[in-house]
Amino acid sequence: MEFRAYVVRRLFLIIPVLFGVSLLIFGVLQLFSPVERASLYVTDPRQLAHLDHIIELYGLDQPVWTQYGTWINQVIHGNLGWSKVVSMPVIDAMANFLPATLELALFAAPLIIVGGIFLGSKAAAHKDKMADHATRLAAIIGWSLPTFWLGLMLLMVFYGYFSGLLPPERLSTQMNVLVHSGSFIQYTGLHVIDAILNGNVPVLLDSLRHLVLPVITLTVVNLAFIMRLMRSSMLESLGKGYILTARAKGLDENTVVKKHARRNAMIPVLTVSGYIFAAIVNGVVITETIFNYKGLGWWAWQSAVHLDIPSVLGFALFNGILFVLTNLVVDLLYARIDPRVRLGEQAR
Amino acid sequence: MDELLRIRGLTVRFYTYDGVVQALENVDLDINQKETFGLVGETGCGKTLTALSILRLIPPPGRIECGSICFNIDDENEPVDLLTISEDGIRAIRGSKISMVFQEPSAALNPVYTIGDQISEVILLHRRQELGQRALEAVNALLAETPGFISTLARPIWLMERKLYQQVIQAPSSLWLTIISRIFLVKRLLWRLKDEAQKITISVLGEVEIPDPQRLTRQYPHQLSGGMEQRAVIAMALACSPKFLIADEPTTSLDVTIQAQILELLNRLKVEWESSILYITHDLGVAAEICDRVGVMYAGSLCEIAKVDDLYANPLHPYTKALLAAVPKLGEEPHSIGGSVPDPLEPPPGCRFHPRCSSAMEKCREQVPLMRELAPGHFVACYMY
Repeated sequence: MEFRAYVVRRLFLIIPVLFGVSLLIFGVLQLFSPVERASLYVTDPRQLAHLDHIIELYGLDQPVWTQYGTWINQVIHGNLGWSKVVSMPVIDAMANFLPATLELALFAAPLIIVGGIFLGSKAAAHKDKMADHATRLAAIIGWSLPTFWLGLMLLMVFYGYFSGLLPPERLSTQMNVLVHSGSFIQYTGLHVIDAILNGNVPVLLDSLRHLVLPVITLTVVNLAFIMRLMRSSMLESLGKGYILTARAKGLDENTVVKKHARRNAMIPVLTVSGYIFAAIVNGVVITETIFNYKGLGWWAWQSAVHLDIPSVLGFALFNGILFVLTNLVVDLLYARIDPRVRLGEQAR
Repeated sequence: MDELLRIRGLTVRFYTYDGVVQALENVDLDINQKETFGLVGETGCGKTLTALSILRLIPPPGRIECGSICFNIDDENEPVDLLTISEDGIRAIRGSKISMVFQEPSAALNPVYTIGDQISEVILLHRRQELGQRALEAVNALLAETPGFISTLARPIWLMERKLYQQVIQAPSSLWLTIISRIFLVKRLLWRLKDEAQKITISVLGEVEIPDPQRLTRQYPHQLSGGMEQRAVIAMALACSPKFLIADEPTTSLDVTIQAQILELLNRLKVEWESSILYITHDLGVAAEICDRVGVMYAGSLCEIAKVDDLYANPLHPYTKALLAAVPKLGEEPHSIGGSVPDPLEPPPGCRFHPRCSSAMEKCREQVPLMRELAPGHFVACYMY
């Protein structure tokens, strides 16, 4: 019951935060003059002759609060302007590029989070033994590898040396044609899931093959980070009084570590895991660029380079919403793990 | 009087980067059945380490160098040496035969589990067969009922449960049972064990005089007061009716009024459950109130052991005398002991107390004095006698 109350309380808290995010982005938009802002709605050079008309249409000469009302109304109806980089409305561009990034995140994030937590607690439980030294060494190496270097090396070996074993991009040309043909229904835009829903094994295998390298690149760096964090958090937890109590109860080492220490050690790791997940969904520019994997990161980077303001602002809005939602999930998981969060620190 | 625990020559060292810390040197100690033995001394003199050695829970880099700790599990069996039995053996003893109450109750309880979970965990671990028996009786009672609509539907499940509980009683560590208890949903068939453990938990919490134990089982440590937390910790220690309870300064962090209640509770439970207590404290007043015999510790070794009345009426060791003189009394200036506790990395040779002792002799600087029985039951390690 208390948990449900906490969820409701936390959901209501989202509203002011989202309002703040929208104000911030609208504030940035206000730095432009009405004419400049009107040009953001232009999808065709011929419209430039009618800028006054556009200003009037979107109320760009109205007082700020009226403009905010108009703008937020547009945003809610999905009108975020025109992305000239990919020649389509911003909202469509997002719908187009998000699945690719999401697919990457859905494979990389569980590997990073589960693997990092598992290796970190193993290392802490066997502190200063062989397992600990091995994982720590691996973590230092992984954490020190620059993404661009690791990505290029992987490509060199698995695409170059083994001639096309694990290729870049999302799909091979042949499969790409198949996916966009009428016989293949795109339910989600995530090729792996669509292939399973369509029962198409070649597409499934092909998309998995293309995912291997970018997922490995992302995993190596971030897993090292989570692992190191989990290890130190776990060591702290293992030194606590309740661990001595648990051992004095006669519990075996496995239960002590997994039940009593790990749950307490998870709390800081959860925060970082949330941020890592959000950061990957946000688009990982370097990884996506190296592997020519066209996701959100690639699009945002292109828009920024080409001064495509509606796209950049739309991306910023998406970014804000994404972080708000990830924080929400992290907070709810917190409350699930730690009763002190959901019940509040009550007076003794 | 029968012996319960006999510690001989217990030596514990810590291997740190700065050198070897001689934490315990040749500790000899006997604890009898149904008695409360007090271990007093200053902070850092090795009281807690003695207790942790008994459970073999010395934290690294500490190591038990030599010695033996013989423990009488029951009257039929030979005493076992806790320092040499297997890891599984000592785990079976921890929490069931010997359990421990810690100084800081708020640190000793895991903040993310309810009090009920934490107490029933011990019961599920050490009293599984008894729980199986209780669960089996509950299922049998259900099966014996006259068949109705619900019982015809649930009958196959009850039969399965009965099979499992029989297994719990006869072969608690069988592979089959281990597999069942790991599988999602299927392990729910063993829910009655938890249910019975919960019932025992509630009755144990009642024993330690907690009002509304039912509600307490669902609460988390941070929702309780210090006194309630310590009662819960005591309940956890007593859940398997141990023969030997180690209480490591259980009242130090509590208010004086609550301290009195906890002492009273421990005294009552000791008589009712016929167990022995090793009571560790730095408070001589508390020791006088609760203990039958008292051992005084200084810098890792025992210097005097006596019946509590003897010790307070006729202290022999210079350290005991100084310690008693240091207790503040109304209207008097307390006498502090001159000098300071020796550096455990480089303890003084001979008697460790000699640099602070007013009646130190030449011999005290060279040789470690041995424990001698001066009067019946009154041991002291000092060259003055």
